[in-house]
Amino acid sequence: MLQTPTSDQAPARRVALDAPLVLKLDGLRTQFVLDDGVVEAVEGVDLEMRRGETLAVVGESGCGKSVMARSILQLVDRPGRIVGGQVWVPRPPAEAVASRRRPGLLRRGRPEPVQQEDGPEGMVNLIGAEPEMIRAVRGKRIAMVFQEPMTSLSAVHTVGNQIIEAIQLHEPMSKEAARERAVDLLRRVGIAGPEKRIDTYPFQLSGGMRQRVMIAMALSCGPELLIADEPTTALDVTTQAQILELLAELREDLGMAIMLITHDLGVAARLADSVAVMYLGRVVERGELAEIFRSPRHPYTQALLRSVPKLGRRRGERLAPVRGMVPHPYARPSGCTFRDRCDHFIPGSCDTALPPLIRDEQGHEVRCVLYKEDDR
Amino acid sequence: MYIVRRVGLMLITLLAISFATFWIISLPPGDYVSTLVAQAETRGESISAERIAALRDRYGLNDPFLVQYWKWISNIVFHGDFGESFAWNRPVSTLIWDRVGLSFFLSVSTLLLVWAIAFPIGIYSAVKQYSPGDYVATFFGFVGMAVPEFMLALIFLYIGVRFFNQSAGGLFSPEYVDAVWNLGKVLDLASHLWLPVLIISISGTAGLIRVTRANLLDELYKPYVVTARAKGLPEWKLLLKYPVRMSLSPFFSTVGWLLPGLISGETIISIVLSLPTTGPLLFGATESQDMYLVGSFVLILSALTVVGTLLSDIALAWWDPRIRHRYQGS
Amino acid sequence: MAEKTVDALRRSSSEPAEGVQLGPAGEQVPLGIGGDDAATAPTAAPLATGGTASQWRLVWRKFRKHKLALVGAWVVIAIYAVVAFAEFLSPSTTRAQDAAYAYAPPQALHVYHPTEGLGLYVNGYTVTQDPETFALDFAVDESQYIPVGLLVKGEPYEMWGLIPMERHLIGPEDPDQPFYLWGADRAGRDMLTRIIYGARVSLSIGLVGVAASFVLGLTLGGLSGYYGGKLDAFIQRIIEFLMAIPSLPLWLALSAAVPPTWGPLTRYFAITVILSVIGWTGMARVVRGRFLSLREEDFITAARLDGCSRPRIIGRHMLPSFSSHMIASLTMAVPGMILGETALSFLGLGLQSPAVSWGVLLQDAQNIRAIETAPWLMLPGAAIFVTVLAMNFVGDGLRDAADPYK
Repeated sequence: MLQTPTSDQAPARRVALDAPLVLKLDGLRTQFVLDDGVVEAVEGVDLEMRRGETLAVVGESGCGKSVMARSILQLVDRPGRIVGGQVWVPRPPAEAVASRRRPGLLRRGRPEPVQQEDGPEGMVNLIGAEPEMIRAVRGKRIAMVFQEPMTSLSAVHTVGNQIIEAIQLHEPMSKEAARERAVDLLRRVGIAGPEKRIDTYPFQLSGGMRQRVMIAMALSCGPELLIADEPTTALDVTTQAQILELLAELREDLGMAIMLITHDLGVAARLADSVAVMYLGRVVERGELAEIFRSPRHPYTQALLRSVPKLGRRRGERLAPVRGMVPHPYARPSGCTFRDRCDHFIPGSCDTALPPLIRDEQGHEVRCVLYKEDDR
Repeated sequence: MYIVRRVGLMLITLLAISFATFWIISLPPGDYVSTLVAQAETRGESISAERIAALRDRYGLNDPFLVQYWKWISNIVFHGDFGESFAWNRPVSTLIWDRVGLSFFLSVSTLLLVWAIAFPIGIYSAVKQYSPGDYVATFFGFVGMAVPEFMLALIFLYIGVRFFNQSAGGLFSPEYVDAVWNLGKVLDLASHLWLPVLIISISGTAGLIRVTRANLLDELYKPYVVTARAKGLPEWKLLLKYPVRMSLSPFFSTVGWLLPGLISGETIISIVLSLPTTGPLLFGATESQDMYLVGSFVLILSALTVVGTLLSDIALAWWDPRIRHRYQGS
Repeated sequence: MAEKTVDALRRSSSEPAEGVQLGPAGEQVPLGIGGDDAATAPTAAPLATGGTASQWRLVWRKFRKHKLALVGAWVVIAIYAVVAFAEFLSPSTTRAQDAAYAYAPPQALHVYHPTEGLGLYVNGYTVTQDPETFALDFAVDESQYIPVGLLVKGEPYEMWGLIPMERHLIGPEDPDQPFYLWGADRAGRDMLTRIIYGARVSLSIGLVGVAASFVLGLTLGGLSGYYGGKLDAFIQRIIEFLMAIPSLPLWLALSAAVPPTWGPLTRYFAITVILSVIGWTGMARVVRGRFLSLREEDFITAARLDGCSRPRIIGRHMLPSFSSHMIASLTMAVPGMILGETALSFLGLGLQSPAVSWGVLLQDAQNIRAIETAPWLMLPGAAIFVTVLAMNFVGDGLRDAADPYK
């Protein structure tokens, strides 16, 4: 299932540390209240993303990476609920928010927007913000691409209809102009004969084409951040490579940041500058891509990398899967949640308290008791 | 091309139905003329031998089954002659035709009322699942489905007589029954019509609320809804354009089946409230085994069903591009 | 008509959905890095414990949460218990009549009498006759004291048609005293007794009808779903056709063909057959839909590749995985049958007096004069309401619980 991550790595791209922030998560927490208990899908995630940066969020299925991504735009369906933390994004222009407000009756009984606490300069917290504020960000500033291009597009509307809708939501322009723009977008994402394709229905397109349509739709309003939630998982390997190439190209052209959610370290390696490794709702390690691949620090990251086949591996050498099983979500181990599967388990230390986040001077962060603040 | 093939299939089905109908007509012991003669005798009258012979010839009663069938169906197809009702001593076609208008009117007004109430409530109930409003709608839905329609009619009749001292039956006050149409008669009709419309609507609404809610709940959490939400669409716009639209597909696939119902009307309610619609006519006919009348009803309703199915398919193809393209592909 | 179309709507919509929903059901908690959508993982998570419980346990666990369904289940069980012991539980018999008490109103059952002390009793009636219309006018007479006992001797009857008995659960201590808890009908017969006996016919017709349509539906639906092709297309046409005709005219036409000379038992079966002729279609569609979607499931393919025989695949792998759905659909079909029988009998086309069913009883309530003088004639309607409501709740709960992995 995993591709070789090291064979064809793009040259490491460096993101200027002073580039403006496009997203800042502070202790984001999302729960699923189910009949038999509460699942903490996301448990206090802190992340920062800067303009032009590509961050890969990797982890096993069920580690909460997808829920985390959806929580950013508050797209978590019931019974999921965001219960804490902040999502900071650049504040949209006041008129973009005001124009969405409906006057009079419909607004009655709606709570006044929460008074914003102190955050980064020029940014706004989406959690608890008025719906108009969230909608002004969705699609315009932050766009999303989903895993299943088949089910994520409406089957009863033409692709043109769905793209034009996205454009007209955020940009005041005529239908004709929007249609022209949609054709351009389709051409830009590599769809041949866009003038004809724009009037087709999603079920008439191949999986790869559909994913291109999804990307075109996400790009329609020039977002600063594109969240791609497993964008290539449902596609075959060749198409997967094409889509990744397309994303890389678009990133260079448009200068947007990309958050790539994937379980596939190979995919992460091809596109990302930095990596955040998630385990059971927490980021356990975060750093630059090359750094993490070269010298992973958290035992979980190390185990993950060992489980990936590499070119040049000696014959007869066996792949080592991550030991044990993901603990049941209702019964997470105390302390470090990885301790049951960890080769370096230290009784009395790992099982008592959540290890603190350790950060070195390169900005490589890890949450593990094996490392100390001064230890390098 | 597709439609041509469907129409061809439809004709074959209709042929099969007409055979089945004729078979039902010939089921009860004795034939039409002997029943007629027996009836006349009980009244102490007698029918002349020539007349009997003419009638037997008219319906081909001395002929084998297939010839009888042919006489029956060809009269219907070429002359619009459905035969005679012996209970009424009138042509079946005029009998039915007299009552179709009111049935149709009653059914259409009920249908519109049911849609106008049930769709919004069903949508609300699905979107606000487990809210107090949803519980109320659900409760109403269950209660509405558990009360037999005729019970409702009886209860309303009882309430009308007991507390308002007025009879709720019929569509016209006595003075207007045989009057020509004028404003007074129309108003009189309206004042009588609301009760049957209300009664029929209650059970229909209850069912449709449940269906709308369930169908919409199936769609509400699909990925394409999340996609649309991620675009920044306002919730109500999103709801109407995507999940509601999708959840209506099953509705369109059966909308044509309403066609026979428009003609047959709400039989039981009509009987209890003694409304002059086609339902009681059919009912009376089955009671007295007035088989030409029954058979004609079955034939007409079945034919409408078949036509309705075709209309449904066309409506669905118009509504859902996936179906449309599947047809074009084949 | 409306109800039927509505049913059909729901049916045709739920089919494809069910096929799809089974997909995520197979997901276990992922063992390693896997390709599924992480967003669904939390909802699929309870499987880690659920995987060890049997399917029926999961169904039961989910059903138990549906409080209304649970209450409904108890009510249904209670009603069927009443049906089973109808002769013993009813204060009288259906044949016992007393013209002197025609249209006698219901008596209230009291527990404490100011002078006689603690003990069950009812009050008697004072009867006056209208000199012009000869109609009897009843008034409850507070001064008449009619002691009521449990397990008293009353009208003789045969328990289950076999054991001669004369004890009733409740009744007047003196069998000649009037005792009409739910009033009397035009012949002075006890409504409560007749409703209890009527339940036996009305409820059993529901079960028998559903059983008949179950056999038909399972066979034809199974054939249709398993073999597909021309046979499938043919059966589907028939189903569509039967579903599309408004049910009442179809009932009317069919029951018009039932000779009026037939005895009660033959008529009973004729009505059952008529009801199931229409009822089997829904069942067949459900079975076919499940078969079609199951045929494509990986675990069926796996079983086939393991060399399982066809009967084993059907019996061991396919049937268990949709039996819960079948039971849910069966439960939901019963109230429809009951309503159908009631409607037919009410119109005089179904069962006929002297047979007693709720529909037959309600025939007396057709006349507006009758319900004006004796509104308690509508009580069988209340019985229908409670029964159907309870059954609908159970059916709804079962349908929700039928797919415990959802």
